Amino acid sequence: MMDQIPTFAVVGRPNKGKSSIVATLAENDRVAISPTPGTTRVAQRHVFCIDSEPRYALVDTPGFQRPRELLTWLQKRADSASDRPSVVADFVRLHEADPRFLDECELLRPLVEGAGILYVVDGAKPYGAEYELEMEILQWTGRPRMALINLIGEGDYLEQWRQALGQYFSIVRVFDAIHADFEKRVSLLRAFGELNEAWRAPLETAVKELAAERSRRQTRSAREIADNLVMAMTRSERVRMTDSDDVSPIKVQLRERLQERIRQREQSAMKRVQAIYLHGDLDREVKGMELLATDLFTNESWELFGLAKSQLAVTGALSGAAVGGGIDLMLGGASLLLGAGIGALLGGAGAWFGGEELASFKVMGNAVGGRVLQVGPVEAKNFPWVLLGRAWLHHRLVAERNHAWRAALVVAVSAEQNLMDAVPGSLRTEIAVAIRRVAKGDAAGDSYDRLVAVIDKLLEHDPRSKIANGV
Amino acid sequence: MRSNLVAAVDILQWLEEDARTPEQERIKRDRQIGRQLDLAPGQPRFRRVLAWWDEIGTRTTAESKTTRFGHRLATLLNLASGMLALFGFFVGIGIAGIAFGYHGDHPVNLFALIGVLVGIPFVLLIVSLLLLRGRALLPVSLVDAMAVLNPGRWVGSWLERHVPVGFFDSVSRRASHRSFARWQLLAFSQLSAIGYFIGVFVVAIALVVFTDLAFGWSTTLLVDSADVGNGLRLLALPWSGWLPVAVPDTELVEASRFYRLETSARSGSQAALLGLWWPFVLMTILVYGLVPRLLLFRIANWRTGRSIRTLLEEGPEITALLDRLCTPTVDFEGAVEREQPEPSAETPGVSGLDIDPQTAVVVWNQAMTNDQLSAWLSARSSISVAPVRASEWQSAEEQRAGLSQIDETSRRLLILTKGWEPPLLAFCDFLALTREELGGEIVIVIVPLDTTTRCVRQQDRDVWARALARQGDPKLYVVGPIG
Repeated sequence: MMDQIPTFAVVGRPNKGKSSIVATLAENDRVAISPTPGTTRVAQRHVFCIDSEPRYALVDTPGFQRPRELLTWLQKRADSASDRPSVVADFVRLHEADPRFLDECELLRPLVEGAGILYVVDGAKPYGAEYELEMEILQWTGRPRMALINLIGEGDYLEQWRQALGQYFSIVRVFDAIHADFEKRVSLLRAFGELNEAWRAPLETAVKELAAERSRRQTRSAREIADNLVMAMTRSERVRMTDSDDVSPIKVQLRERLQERIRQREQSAMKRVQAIYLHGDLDREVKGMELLATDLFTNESWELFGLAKSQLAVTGALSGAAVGGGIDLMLGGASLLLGAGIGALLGGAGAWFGGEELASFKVMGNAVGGRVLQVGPVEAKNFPWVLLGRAWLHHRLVAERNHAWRAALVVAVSAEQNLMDAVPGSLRTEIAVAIRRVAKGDAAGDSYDRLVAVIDKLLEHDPRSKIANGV
Repeated sequence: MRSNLVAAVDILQWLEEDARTPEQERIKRDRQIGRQLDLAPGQPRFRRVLAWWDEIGTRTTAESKTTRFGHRLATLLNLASGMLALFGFFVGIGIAGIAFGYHGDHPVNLFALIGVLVGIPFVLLIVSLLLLRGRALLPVSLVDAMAVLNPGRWVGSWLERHVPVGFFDSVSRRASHRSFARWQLLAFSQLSAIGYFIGVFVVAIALVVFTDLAFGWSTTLLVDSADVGNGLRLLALPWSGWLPVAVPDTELVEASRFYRLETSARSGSQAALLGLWWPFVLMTILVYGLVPRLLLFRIANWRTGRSIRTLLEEGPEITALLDRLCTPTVDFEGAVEREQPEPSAETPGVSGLDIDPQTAVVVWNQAMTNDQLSAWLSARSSISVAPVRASEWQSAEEQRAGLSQIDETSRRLLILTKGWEPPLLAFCDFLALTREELGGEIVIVIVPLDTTTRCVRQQDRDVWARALARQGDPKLYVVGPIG
């Protein structure tokens, strides 16, 4: 046997989604998926590693091409059922160089070497007698096997398939490779362990590590989002001026420069989040995320992703109360909750009466002469929420997108929907407190860690509970 | 400290550029280093970062190391430090030269001397310290005015021009960077002040050694010499215990009082007595001028070093780096087959499915039941057609037997297939067998039906057309979409 690690050969007729299943489970966008039969000509081995230590492997195989001839060859050479696996091995050995059976040899080789079988069919299309040839061949290999009913398209022939597959496979599962989320992928991996007792423990380890990695990716994304938020909130742009310069056009240019830098940084943060989830090739498709293609500084973006004025005031008051409450606590209650009261009043009023202007301008003296005009940092109270809302939605779309899904992502939304409605009030207050601390100056250390933690918490919620998702 | 600064700046700049490296590549590289160096999460963060940086250094060229901003910044800082110290030194020499100006008509006024050489810098020192902590409490105009007076600020502005564009995008918002900048500027100011006091001290020593100096004090106020003596002895308290010669006694204080209306003629012994002030003057310059600046310089350096260390410990890039160093990588490794180019050639299409007496029909792989087939044929022709059934589970002999039932006069053969099942090589074998049996003249039309057996979907049709193009059969067609 070649493998000490559990190995699964994904087999089946061409175009039934074998490569999609491998792409989804191996989280690999580069696995070739094409409607043209024969796209996979050579078995592709994908080894799941923890710190480069192999734990299990998936082998993407070409489909059967001449099952009748193959089965006839086998049947002529096996006298009893016990001979069958060795006859299959003989077939592979004797036909390695035979151009007529290249695909069959590629497909059977991993099975001869000890791999388990994941037989893939399309449950959206009717069952046909032609499948019996290959199911019989797979039976001949004597390897543990599971049938996966993939769903490509809209038909529903699941019962037909269950009836037929049940006669050849001990485990039959439905797995939609295109839409399977992380939980479904993990559940399938666990099911592989049912094929062989010895495979259960390594697969369980793999599942745990995948879950831990999933959580790490979310935290890494939270860091990217926090980083972008901090940058956008603390960024300012400056230009040196002489006393004779006309300030008005310089102000316009400076404001545009600030906005452009923030836009660019947001795009780069989104790319980084995509890279964290190994979706490096989404560039073109991101444009399909219509909501996120809306410019960051348009009213539409602010209305959808930001907080409503009343929400802003309530959140401001609550976060002000939280900060003031901290002072009350420090004074052991001697302040009679005055801190919380004043904090709430100031926070709420600040948010309610806060200016709509993105950022204000300052003219400063320069140490080496002349003047310096500065715009920023951004002061608009709703701005961090807009940025956060966009990042939140983007993260969810990217994190849930699996690697077999090669179509564009589009999120449909109707007017008067506000993304932040999906955030529980208490979490909104926590976020507001964290944002307030960062805005006050310390964008690293504890304040930064706190911001990352609350964003991490936010990412666990689904922004689409408020919007419809259409593809 | 400079080496840590070089490392911190280079690391932050390198990490900024490294963000363009694919995420998985970075994770693998850093985890490999983390395992190689056995960087356990328990070790101090900055030590892990520096160890990682050393390892990265071994993988990069010497040229790229020297072109990084850290080296340039260190050079610029050293240059700036040297220039500031020299600047202070020469200013000190100049001001001391004026303050110690003694033409023999009146003694050097001690109050004016100490006030100019030590008092004003001392006040500036206090204001600097206030600015350091209480910047927000002071009027902006005062802060701006102080910035103009502060040599450290001049150098700060000069250095800003040498920073690569965008370098401080990530670091400038960190408290540790702001702290570094603040303390580094303070260190610059102190360096300049140290140079100044050394200049003053050198001039004082030179004048004491090579000229005769006479010091005195003078006031319009009705002040008793004893009180002045007490004040001066209070000033000399820090060194009175171990350097009594630098503490003025009552007699010296009394003898040193002068009035400008008095005649300046004094005896040699009197002049020598007035010269006895020099140890006190030197100690005042040292203790109230140089020493506080040295102390503050030391503190500023220490705080700068601490800020640099914090730069190496906190911030998103560093946290992400430590995460990569210390957490196991989870990934799939494997050769990825290059996506094969889609065949551009397609089997030609035909439109319409007229069935005439010279048309034969083969149903492949039970694409239709008998009932479906009857309905399908009767919808297209009134003539009776006897279809042949063939499949991939038949042997070649069985397929040949089926084909032999087809009338030799047939000029067209329709093969009805399941459109959703792309053609296997077994089907291509059947096509070859058909040619063998029926000859090269018969037109073969493939009809890939959908699951309702009534339509040919464009998508299925295209898959079949591309796959069968490999046959290179000039009389093979795939029917166009029908519905």
